[in-house]
Amino acid sequence: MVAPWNTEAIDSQFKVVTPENIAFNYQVAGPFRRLLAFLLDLAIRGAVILAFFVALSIAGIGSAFANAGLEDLMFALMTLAAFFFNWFYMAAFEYWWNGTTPGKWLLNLRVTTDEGEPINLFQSAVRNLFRYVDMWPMVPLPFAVMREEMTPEPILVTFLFALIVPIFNQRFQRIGDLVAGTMVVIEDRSWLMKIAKIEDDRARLLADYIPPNFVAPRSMVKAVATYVERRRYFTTARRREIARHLAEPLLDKFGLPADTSYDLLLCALYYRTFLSKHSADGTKDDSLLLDAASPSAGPYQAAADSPITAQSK
Amino acid sequence: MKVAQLIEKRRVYWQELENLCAQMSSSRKKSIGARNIARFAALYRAACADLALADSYQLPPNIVDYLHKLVGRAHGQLYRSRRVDWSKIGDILFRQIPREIFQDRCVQLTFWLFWMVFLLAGFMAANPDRFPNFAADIVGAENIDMYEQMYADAPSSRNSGPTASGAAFYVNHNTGIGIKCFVVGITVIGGICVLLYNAAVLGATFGHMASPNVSEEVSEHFFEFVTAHGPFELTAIVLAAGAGLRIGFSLISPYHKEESLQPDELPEGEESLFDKSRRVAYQRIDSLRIGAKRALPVMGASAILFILAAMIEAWISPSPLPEQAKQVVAIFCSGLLMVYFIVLGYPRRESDAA
Repeated sequence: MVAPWNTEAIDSQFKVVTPENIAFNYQVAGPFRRLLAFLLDLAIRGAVILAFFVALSIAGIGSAFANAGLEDLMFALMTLAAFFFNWFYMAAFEYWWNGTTPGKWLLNLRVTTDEGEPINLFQSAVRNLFRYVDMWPMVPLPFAVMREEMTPEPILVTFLFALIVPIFNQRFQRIGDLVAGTMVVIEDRSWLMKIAKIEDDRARLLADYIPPNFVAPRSMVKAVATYVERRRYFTTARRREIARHLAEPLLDKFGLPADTSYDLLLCALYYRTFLSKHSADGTKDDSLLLDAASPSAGPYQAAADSPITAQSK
Repeated sequence: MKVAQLIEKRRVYWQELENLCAQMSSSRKKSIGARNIARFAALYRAACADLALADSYQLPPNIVDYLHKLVGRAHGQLYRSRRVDWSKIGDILFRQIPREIFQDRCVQLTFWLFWMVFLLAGFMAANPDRFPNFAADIVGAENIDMYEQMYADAPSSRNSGPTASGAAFYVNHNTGIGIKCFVVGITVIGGICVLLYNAAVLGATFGHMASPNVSEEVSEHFFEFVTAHGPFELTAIVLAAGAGLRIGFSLISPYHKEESLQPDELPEGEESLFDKSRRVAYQRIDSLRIGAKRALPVMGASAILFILAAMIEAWISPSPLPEQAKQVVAIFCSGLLMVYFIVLGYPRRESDAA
């Protein structure tokens, strides 16, 4: 049951195996979301520097300093602040904030290692120092007029490396990411969807006509579930067109009349699999299994003094 | 009722975990409370279990997607970046880094390249009879004029003498150049070009200042100014370029010593200092990472040297101290570097070091 292509790569998902030996998927962040986060960070830095200057010039803090004879110290502190802002703003935030910067935090991004673990100081430093290479290639400004007006650095920063390098690897890693062994993942908050309701009573009636010994294979269950969850976005004609591929052979197999609504049949199948009192494979004992694994009682709570049992008592 | 019922049952736990995640990401750990943290761990394990069993529960795909994201968020909150162990910093700074630098072929290469080109450019610029216009070609005639005007006055009478803002400026400017030199090293050719350019310009400037074209007074002022901070600054740029080349070369030749991940000890029974028999070929991407791991401490040492040089350049070089005092500072700095690179860096067995 291996798909002919790697669906995880197409969905830009990356499988992480936790120390609990559970595998889950992280979604790798693409260039445009990261560009947005970068611009946000740039804007935040700009805003902070602007606020600083406003405080110094308008609010009169600057002249207070000058009167106290500390002007030299003030300029020194400002230059040092600019130096750290320039080179270590991102690295410091990624280290202290567990792989996020303000911009990344706003866009739900997080830097992790290739294995999905948190990054350390070394990695945050390396991946951010190499931002300088991302600006490459630097080209001279195209027109002589521009070059004369914009001295002393008549150079245009193209940021082509930042765009090209991520395209050629699977996890959209910049050069800095490659060197440090990190990637950026999306950590979205997603809303828990309710299980789709089947309003149509005919679907429930039809479910009784599905042979009780029919067990839908997993891939079919998946397809049916995906279809039913999304069917409300489709028109009737489109529903019929989509449902036909699965419903036609099923009608044939179940011995139902061929003019049964395809859409209705898939709903009935969904109802029977997920909602009806009958178990899909006709047995009852797997409900015990479900109870056993629930977090309030079961193998995960083997220790009597575990916090959850303590809470639920 | 099976799946629907199951989801209804678990929904409470999942949402509780989600709320805890939101709490943990926005507030400090201490304010959450031990009880909630323990609860978080239990809920996380339960969610992991649900995800692991999702296939056998036959959960619908959107619920599975939700679980993936939920577990991902909780995982990001549970496993946090490790803090730096500051107690080891002395060991890294005074034992590991000098040994790494002493054995690093890339630092050796940049050392020789830099000083060869520096001396050659200096020699050519200092003999304008044989190489006319050499300094002007390399440095640029305007820059040379600028330098000559700059050093027309004695260092101590220029500007306002030692200032803190000057120190900050030198930290910002010179360390920035060092970091750029390091980063560019990943392209090898770019790194070597930047290094050679710096060596040629610096050498030509020094040579020009020593040449008979420049008045005795100006050249005296120039050498008085640059003497004190020269040793640290020139060493720092060599180290930065060497660290950068280390990263670039690890792409070209993916061989590292087997224990390169912990570069603090020589293997058992190794006789030669530069024993290559235990070098192992890595995959290039892994080699790049090992190279970076070896290079970053060297870059750290270089940054420290840049900062020290900036301090000297701002406080001592323009000060009214006599020239002899500045020369003593330069000799002292050079001695310190010798001790650091050779005495501390010389490879030895663990038992000797202890």
